Amino acid sequence: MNTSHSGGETLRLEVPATLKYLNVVGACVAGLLAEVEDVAERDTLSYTVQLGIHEICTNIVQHAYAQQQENNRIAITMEMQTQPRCLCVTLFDTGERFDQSAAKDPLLDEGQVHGYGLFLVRNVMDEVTYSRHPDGNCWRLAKNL
Amino acid sequence: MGKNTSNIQKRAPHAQDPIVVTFVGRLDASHAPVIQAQLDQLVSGGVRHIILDLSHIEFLDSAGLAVCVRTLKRVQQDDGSVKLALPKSASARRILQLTRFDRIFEIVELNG
Repeated sequence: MNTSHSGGETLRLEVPATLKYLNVVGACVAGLLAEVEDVAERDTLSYTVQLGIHEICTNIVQHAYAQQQENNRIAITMEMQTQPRCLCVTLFDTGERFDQSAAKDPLLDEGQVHGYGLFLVRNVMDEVTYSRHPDGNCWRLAKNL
Repeated sequence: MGKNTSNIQKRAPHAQDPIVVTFVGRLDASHAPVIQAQLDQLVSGGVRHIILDLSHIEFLDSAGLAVCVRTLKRVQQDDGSVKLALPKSASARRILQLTRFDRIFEIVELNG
């Protein structure tokens, strides 16, 4: 962990793009938030951020890297920002471009097998952005404290 | 990190009574395939009425939701039913409310 230019602290980790490492990422979120003072409803906040990261990682594993079998990694940066006070998370992968047109909200009056992942992320996080870079995909999530 | 299990907790005395499947720990993308296989095995074995007891889960994500819907769609083909016991975790309960699973599924309360 190191202090960043925005006055907060930054945690960087890079994990193999497999679902079995999701628990590790979740534990890092809980550990980071445990160090932050004056947080209301810490457990709820931790769950929310873990869910946001979890869903994006799952999307990356199952879609961005679906056709790419080797050396798949996800680079995750978690930064505590002080102005405004929020936890910002960026996730970077080198997989296929995210098809935004395919990510439609689920029909909520019917039970669907697919389509809830990004819907949940957009509903529980305060900011969700996606950008395509020449060498990969970048997701940015933010949750106000 | 908690231990993850799914237990077939109670076999009903009558064929039409539901079987209760209790989950403990995380019902998420990393555990969903194993849990789905266990539920599929139950349905293939003739079980038509199931209560998914989510009261002890610590974490629920969209893959966990998919397990519930897949199981519902499978048993509905044979006039079966899937009911949910809601999580004690307020955060996990909120996921079911956001996705309206608390309306799509019949909600039950289990003793103990």
